Amino acid sequence: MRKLLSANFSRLWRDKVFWIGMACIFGYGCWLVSTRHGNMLRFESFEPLDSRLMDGFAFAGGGAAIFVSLFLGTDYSDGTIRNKVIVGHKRSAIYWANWVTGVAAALLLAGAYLLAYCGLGVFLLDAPASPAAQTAAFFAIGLFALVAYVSLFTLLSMLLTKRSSSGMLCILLFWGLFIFSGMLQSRLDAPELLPQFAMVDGVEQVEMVPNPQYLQPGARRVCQFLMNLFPSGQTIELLFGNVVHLFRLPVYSAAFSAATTALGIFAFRKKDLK
Amino acid sequence: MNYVLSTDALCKQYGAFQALDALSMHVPKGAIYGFVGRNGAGKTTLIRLVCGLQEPTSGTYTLFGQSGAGRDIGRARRRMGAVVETPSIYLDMTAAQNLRQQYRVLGLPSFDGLEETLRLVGLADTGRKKARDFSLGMRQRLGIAVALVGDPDLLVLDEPANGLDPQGIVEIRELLLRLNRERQITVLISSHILDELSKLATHYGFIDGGRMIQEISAEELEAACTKCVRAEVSDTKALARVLEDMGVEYKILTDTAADIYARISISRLAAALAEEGCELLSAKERDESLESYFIGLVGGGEHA
Repeated sequence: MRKLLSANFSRLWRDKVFWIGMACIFGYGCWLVSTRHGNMLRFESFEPLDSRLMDGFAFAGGGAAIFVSLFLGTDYSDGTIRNKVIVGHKRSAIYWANWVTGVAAALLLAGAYLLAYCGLGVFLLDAPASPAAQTAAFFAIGLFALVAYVSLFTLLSMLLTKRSSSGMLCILLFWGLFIFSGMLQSRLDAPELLPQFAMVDGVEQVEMVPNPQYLQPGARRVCQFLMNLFPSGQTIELLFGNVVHLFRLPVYSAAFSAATTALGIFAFRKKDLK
Repeated sequence: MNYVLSTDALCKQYGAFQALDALSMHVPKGAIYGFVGRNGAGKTTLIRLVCGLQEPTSGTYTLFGQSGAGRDIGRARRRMGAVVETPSIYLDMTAAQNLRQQYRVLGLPSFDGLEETLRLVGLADTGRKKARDFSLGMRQRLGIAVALVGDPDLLVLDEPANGLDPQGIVEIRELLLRLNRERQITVLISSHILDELSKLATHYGFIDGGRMIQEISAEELEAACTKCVRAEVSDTKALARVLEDMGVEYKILTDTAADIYARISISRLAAALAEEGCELLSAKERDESLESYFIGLVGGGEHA
């Protein structure tokens, strides 16, 4: 696998999509810090360094959808995956090498954000508001979620031979999961009671009534499970700083990664290549 | 005989379609093995199986003495290079970058021999030009160069002349002959262009409907091909009488032309014809072509 990794990283180094992604995510980090610094100066608002620290994981997830599908899809569209099989590399080794390359690229994308955000933010933003231990835990959750994203996109890109199809599907899936998880989060955040305004004898009165959107315990457990299971749900929890099951999330991500990778290797070993 | 590659009752089924039907073939060491068959006969399917791109439904193959289902098949594959259908090259890389990439895939310690390989395939002067800007022939030669990285003992080429202009076809032929003679590389080549194949193959395998119809060496094929003399005369009726008297097989083609299936003395024939009042205008020796031999084997209709 060392040989395959050497070949993959050599390609990664000269991959334009990867470097454009790195530049965009680095630029976003710089822009976010300068905007928040502007708010501090104009509105004297409190802008702690750690409040938007986890944005990088969500962005890197989207970047991974584009990068992984195009990087692995090129091996199919140019037919170069055959060169690896013909000279005797095992299919599982090819899959693992591609997975490791995807994980490395996604971590570098997240790293580019952190470098820009922390590098500027340390000087321009307020001191962190959360305990360091919590930030470290969130950071670990973000890393595991990113690995889960890459595992999912690697699975799709290794099984779909058309680069355009896998690229489109990965991007749509990323946004679909993100929107789906956002909807779940809004249902989970729905209050149990809502104020209802009524005029009684010309006097406005407020009465608290049950919210039909409020989830009952059974449905709440299912929604929370889905939030925890998908990397999109985990990154949304990180973005809002609203992590319900701090220690469960990395376990869910690890299980998600293991399941998708095992399925991917199994199917790729059976796949007829052309 | 020492075989680099042999298959035994190899079958491959795609749904209800039987692409290979108990196909057995034997590629001798040092041969240029021409794999001949019409479209859909199963040539590419066999190459895909041998290259490990697909698994056979049943049957086995042996590559450099290692069974295709065995654990050490990976080590045997390390000794082969292949171009299956289209050349497997990164279009956004130059020729040298493509070769370097394959050096890394093989885990070779240095890029020694890279320039020589590029020279061998005539791509040494392509510089920074990307493969996407190459002509079809250049891409084909780059695909072969990638397959040659690591000095393989077996080169498998699937229709390497497809889409090439006559100059490109000649270049590929000369390259393969050089590789076979100078580096002793065994070549398995499938092709539709039978006339071209006949100029380089030392062995042939004729395949039809997923089955091997016949394996034959070039010498055996030459001996098997019927030789004939095409004679042009002023009157074929007189020619027929003379040939009947001589007890020679013939076939009248037109009023003035006929094929004679025997080695005969031209002067004797001319003299005999003169006695019948017929003039011998010309006589040319003709070989039955690989194409007609193939059609004779698999029957007419839509042929390769």
